[in-house]
Amino acid sequence: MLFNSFEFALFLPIIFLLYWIIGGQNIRWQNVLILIGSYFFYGAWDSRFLILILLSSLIDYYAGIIIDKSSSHLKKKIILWLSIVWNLGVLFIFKYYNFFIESLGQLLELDPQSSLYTSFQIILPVGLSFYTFQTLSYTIDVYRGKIKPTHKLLEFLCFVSFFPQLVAGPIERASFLLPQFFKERKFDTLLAKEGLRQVLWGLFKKMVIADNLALAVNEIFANPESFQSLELFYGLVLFYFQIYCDFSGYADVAIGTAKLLGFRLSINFNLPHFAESIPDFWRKWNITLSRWFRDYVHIPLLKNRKRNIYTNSAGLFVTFFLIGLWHGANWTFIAFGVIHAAYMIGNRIKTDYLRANKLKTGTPRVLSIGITFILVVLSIVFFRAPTISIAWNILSRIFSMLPDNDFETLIGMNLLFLPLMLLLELVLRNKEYPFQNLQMHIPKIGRWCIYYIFVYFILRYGGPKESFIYFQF
Amino acid sequence: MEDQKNHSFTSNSKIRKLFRSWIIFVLPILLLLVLVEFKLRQIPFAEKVRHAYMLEHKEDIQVLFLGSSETQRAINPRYLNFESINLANSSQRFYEDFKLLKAFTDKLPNLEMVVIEVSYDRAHRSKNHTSKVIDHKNLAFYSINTFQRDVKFQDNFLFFSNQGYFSKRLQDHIFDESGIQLNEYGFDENKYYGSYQAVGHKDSLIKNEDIFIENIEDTLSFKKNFELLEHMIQFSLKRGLQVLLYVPPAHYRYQKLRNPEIVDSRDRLISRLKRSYPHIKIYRQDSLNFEARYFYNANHLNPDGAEIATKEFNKYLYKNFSSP
Repeated sequence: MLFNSFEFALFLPIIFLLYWIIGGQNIRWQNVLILIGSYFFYGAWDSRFLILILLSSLIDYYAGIIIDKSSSHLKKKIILWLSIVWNLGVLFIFKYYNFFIESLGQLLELDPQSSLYTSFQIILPVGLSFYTFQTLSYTIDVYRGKIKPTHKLLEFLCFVSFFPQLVAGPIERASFLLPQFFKERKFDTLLAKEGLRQVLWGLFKKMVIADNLALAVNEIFANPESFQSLELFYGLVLFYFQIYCDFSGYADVAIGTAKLLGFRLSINFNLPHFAESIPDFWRKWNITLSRWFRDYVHIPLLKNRKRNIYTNSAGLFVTFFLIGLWHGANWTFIAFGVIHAAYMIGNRIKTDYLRANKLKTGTPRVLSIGITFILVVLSIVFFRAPTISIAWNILSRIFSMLPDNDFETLIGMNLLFLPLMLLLELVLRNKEYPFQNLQMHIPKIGRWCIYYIFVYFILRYGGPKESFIYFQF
Repeated sequence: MEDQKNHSFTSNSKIRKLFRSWIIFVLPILLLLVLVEFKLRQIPFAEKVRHAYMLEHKEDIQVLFLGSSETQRAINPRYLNFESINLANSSQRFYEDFKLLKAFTDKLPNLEMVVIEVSYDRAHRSKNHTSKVIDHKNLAFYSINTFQRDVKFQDNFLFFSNQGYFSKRLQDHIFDESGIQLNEYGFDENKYYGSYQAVGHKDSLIKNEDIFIENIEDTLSFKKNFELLEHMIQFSLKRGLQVLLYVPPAHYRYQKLRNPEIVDSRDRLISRLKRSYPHIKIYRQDSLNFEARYFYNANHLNPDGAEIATKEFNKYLYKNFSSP
């Protein structure tokens, strides 16, 4: 069930009413409804994968309890590793097995007919990478003693499968989300209104901007040979905003939906296109994923090691290699990760040099933002192109500065929604999203006019429905 | 206990209040959507007109045309001397052709011939190259599922299937009466506007950059499409229908820009089919030298061009077939 689907438009009001009217003030009933709703939401894609999510939840639930109860450090460690092996094993089989086998086959130059070179027809369960990371962090945090394990299975199942953020994040930590399932949740009109406003803003970004940009992006990338330097670069810029509006739009709908049920979720984007450096970009883009890799990969990798340029660089390389791989089983995603590792290492070397020589970076802020944006945009060619060679081809066409006398926007006036969004986000940057606390500044009639305008934009200018890009991850 | 009851009462009244506001907010939108859907259903879409014509003349129709927009724009059944229906459509591929063929063959008891378009790049196109609008129209007006997936609830609505396309169509219908003029066969007799008309049909002003041509070879799609085409031919022959493979006209500038590999693969496909099924015939109008003034763009005839092409088609049929 997609957030921009008819089914979800029916599902959400039903679950909302059941949750607050039947669930009332009873947390247990509310949680039961969340669980049923979440499993229904997830099962709408493919009910077979409900078994997988249930199994993953049960394994991590009991792993947490056993780790906590056990007095033997070795036993704790074994259980932790069993949980890690299960979670990453599932991820490997469903997401990486075919890629691994095919790459190995090519590396060893195996005969494609060989039995060793057998790939399977595997369907990737929606949101697998997201909920796997969420449950994994729970077990690791219990092992590290950062959180106490829960002994309430219902609440834990809700934590893993909470439908607003189940399939594309934000990836929540147990320490933040799990306690919310135990707290009394009273209906809060203001929070519910905030939720509705955020859902509207998210749908606008997804359906009006991302889906329209997709038309131009698809046309350019379907036949890059027909486009010149400027058009290809323009295509990449549009693709950046397409994934931004797609993913952050999804996050807004997710956060807004959670608010309707009385929950808070983490912010996942904070104007990444205005980042002043690549590290700053990763602090603003897919924030919960970046933090996950920082806390569970990067910091442990460098723990108890002498910090120098080599260890730091190696840590960054491994972390970003894995971030790239997390996005998909393709060399292009790995290349994306490696490029960002190179950016990060370069930035670290520059920072260390400036610090050692007690120098200040003299680059004006606007220039830093511009350079960072261009670097990010150039890197996402690997995110979009189906193969590395096509990505290189596009980059080489961009840098060959082929003249273009017939530049076209390809989506006409619909492109204007992009500057509108950027302007609103920039002017209202101190807000979580531009409509936040609207009731404090604009009277009801004005607010309703704004809502109707945005509903009109969605209904009139919504592009052809595209699936959310991050679902594939 | 009393406290909890009071709290529950307050909470429920808050929910009711919010829900009431929400209903008041949403109601005008829902009413508008119902109105839009209703108005959309009243628009004489080409598919709707064709279907109505087909139902009305099902006993008489002898020839069925299938293909893409190139055949859609090239054949105006008004100029044929026998009953026919042109179901070719923009973005239509062999897959959709076959679905239509299967659905309508049995409903047309006197059908004698099926004309299938084999234009330049048609066999190289996959589902990704087609607009989803055609699937929604096929479902809405022919009750045929060409989505290559199960029908979803929202597919039953025109507006929700593609807001951009259908709201523009509604806007044109309401405000721009001069737009589309469909005849009783569902052929648009006012489709002149295009890149060729924009330059006054002056050959010297037509730029290669303004010619849209798909020159990418897709061997996987080619293989699948070839199989589909073969199945269509077998299906038709089994039912005693004559099969005519048709190459619609294209301007010489378009033909110059074609990828020779794709042209070659298409020609080999035709020869192979001809060898396997000697009874099928091939009629090529791409060799007729239509001038620029007969096109609205490089590979689509305007109604004047369609009149000539259809009359030529008529002659060909009389010359080569005893019936129709």
